[in-house]
Amino acid sequence: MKLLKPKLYSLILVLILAVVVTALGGGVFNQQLVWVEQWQHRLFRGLCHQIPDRSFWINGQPMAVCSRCAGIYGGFAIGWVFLGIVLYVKKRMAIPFKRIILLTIGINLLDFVGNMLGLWENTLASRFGLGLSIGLSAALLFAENKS
Amino acid sequence: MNQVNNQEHNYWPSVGLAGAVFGMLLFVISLFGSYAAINSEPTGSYFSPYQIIWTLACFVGAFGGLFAVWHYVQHEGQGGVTLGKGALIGFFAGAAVTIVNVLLSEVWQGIDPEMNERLVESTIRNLEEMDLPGDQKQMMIDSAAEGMREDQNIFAQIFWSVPMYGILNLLTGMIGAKSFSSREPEDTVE
Repeated sequence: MKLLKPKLYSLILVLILAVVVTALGGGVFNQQLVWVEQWQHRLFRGLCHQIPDRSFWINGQPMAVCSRCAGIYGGFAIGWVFLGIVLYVKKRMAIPFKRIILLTIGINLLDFVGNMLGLWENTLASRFGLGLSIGLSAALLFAENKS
Repeated sequence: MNQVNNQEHNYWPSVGLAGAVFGMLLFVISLFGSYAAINSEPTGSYFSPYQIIWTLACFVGAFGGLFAVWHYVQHEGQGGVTLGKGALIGFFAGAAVTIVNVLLSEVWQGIDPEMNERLVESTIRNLEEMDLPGDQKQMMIDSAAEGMREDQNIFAQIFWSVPMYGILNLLTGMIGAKSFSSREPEDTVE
């Protein structure tokens, strides 16, 4: 068993790793420019609220994305690497990842709404974990056996 | 082994439709967030609580690729599309979403030409309330104002938005190819 289109797999792997490294923000590279104007923050500006209180900090600077988005991108990257291993050693898995993705999106929306309404208060870690679940299941969708 | 039909059907109508629909949704949500931020009280933070609204904009904008692939499969793809084509359609849909959003923003500039400057002033008011040393606060104010004014340039908006929206929609386009094909898109497994 092997990847039929290794170029496509490799392209996606490079892209998602680039997204993850960019999402880490300027702290990783010890950039001196005010973080709100760093290129990493500008790239993600239309995609994430980037509120520092809801983001992890690295080396005294907030990441370019919030903790939930960091979980999504990180989860997809981890899942994509794991996907390559899974598809290399065996056939697709009979796990309903499509339903799992819908479930994880639903839970994230519920968490977002509940926090906004003041029903509960989520944390950096909880938002990261919930985002991770979306990213992982989205990547592993490609291992699902349609039949 | 089943093969997905890879005849060259035109995917541009699907890309265009996704760009129009999701670009307009993205514009409306961002516009709502901008006016909410302008009319909110200074918070002492660079960020307004209403920026949470822009999270919805991201969520909406990222699904243009998924929608484009669904539309393509329904109308052109004869039941299936390969992962590679799904990725391509998704990327183009992401670019189209960005361009439509930027063009609508430019049109809105003609309707309310002072909106962007009021947004800059709102951000500056927030920063002035921050508990920071004077010179650091002034540096943040100057950087933020300069950056926001630079981002009003249409080419800057496209330059900064297309890469990330393109990549996100490329991924959701692939998810769409996997999800909406009635047969297995035999691109990844021999």
